[in-house]
Amino acid sequence: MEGEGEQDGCPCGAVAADQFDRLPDAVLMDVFNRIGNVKALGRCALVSRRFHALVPLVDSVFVRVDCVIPDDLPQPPGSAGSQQQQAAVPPARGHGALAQLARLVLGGIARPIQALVQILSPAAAAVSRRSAPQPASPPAPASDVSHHSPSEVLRPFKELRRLHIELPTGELGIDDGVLLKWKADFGSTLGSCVILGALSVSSKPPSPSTSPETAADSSANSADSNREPEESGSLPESLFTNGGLKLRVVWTISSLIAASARHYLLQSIIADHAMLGSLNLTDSDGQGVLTMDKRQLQELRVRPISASASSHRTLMPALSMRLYYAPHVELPGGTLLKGATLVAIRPSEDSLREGGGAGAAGPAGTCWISDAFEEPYRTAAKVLLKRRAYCLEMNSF
Amino acid sequence: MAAEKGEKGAAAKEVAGERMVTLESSDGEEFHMSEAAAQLSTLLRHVIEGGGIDNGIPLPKVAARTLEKVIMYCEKHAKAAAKSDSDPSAAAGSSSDNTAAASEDLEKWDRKLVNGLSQDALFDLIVAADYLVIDGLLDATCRKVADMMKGKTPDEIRKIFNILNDFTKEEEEEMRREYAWAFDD
Repeated sequence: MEGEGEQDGCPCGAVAADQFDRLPDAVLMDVFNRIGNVKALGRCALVSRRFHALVPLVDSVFVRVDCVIPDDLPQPPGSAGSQQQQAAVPPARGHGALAQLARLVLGGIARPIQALVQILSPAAAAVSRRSAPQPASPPAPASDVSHHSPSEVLRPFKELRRLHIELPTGELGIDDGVLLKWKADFGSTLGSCVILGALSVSSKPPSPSTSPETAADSSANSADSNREPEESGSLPESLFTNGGLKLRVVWTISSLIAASARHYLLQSIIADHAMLGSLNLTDSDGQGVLTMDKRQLQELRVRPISASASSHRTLMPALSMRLYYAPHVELPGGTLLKGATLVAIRPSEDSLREGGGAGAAGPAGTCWISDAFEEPYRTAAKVLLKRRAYCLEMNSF
Repeated sequence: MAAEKGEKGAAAKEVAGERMVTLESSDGEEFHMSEAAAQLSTLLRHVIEGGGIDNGIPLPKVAARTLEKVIMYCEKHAKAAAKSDSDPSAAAGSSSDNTAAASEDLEKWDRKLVNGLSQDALFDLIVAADYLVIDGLLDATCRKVADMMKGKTPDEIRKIFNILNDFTKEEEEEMRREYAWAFDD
């Protein structure tokens, strides 16, 4: 068998040593486990027989999805990604406010992710979005674009324990300046969800001429400076009249729909990887984070997902929600959130089981709420948690 | 150089409170490191606990230039750990800022250490870290090799590390199909 070209070796003509010869398999696995990126791993698998045997044994993988295709659409090459998916909007059943809201919400989701998720190279993705014929580069086999689902890409990795998938964007089309972030964990169905939103996010310039309480801020005391002259935490009357509360409910339902759609996508991956102990599905906008831990993955294997009828997402159980509002929240670093809202959501069944009902914090405390987000939003959540909680119940949907 | 180290070692032994251990590299050089630093190596920790340190610990698998780096790493991390333990500002908030900054600095130091190594030295250090069971050092060095592999084609990886392509043409084609998604660009 041929060596890799001529190498300067010792005079006896031997090839310079393969650096990895000195490493036992376990150490080589240590290296592969730190590569993370699934494409890089795929390339390593083709380096040598040893690499090919070991790469599939990695225990953690990161998959960056370049592009998303909504299901139900015919797939002409070059039309990938950013289309409005009206066809897949499920009919809103029932009458009245909730149905109306549902229609409003579902129309507003710009990029609902359906069953097929596609990975493209960045160059090909750019071409397809312009719907132009591919420029004169080496022609791709058959079609302009290759379609690979995360399921396919992950297939070789039978020993996978930790998986992180990053979607190219968040699903929720929101206006500029609006903040909307969600974090949800799932077993067979929703475990909990925390949503943080704000009407606007702005940088507050340091202003020595402001009133004494804000000037005396240290980051540890910022909570005090946010206490408005009104009773601490009550929802202002205006929120009910100017559509503010309705907007918060729209945020909430949109986030839950996005989360449940992501969860639904994961079924085949979870089924294929029995060793999986941790799963994260994020997006590069930082909008939504879906997590599943070992216990939850086990639960899903034992109790399969109930799908919401006619839509590719997991059924939401009846939910208990606590909503916290503050007109202004200042974050460490000087960012100012206006109309800040925190919504903490759990299945009604769980709230009842813990004996606290929807109104109490419950024995589990509020760590799951305050720890849902990284800084600076973690501080925002803590500030908002001090406000009065408004409780809502929502039916299964 | 060894003699110098020996003298320095003898002087160090006398420094109050700082217990030292003596290590002997594969090429016969003697090195000294603080016991606190030695604790970072699970292997050395067991040897020390087992009481076998009186005449120095021979390390036939670790050459002098590598052992030097190992000691540098362990001393640096032992000092950092001692510093954060004795940090009196245990108030929530301010100390977490300090620890975050300190650990970032330590990470930078680690990266600088591994980036400054030749490929041979890097792999020597991996072997040593594995043998001595120094988790942090193994992590930093393996991370470096992993970084060297990212974004490269299989052929480039082979060239960098002198790896033999031991596939047949047919095998290679089959694998290309198996891993087609890794080669879209």
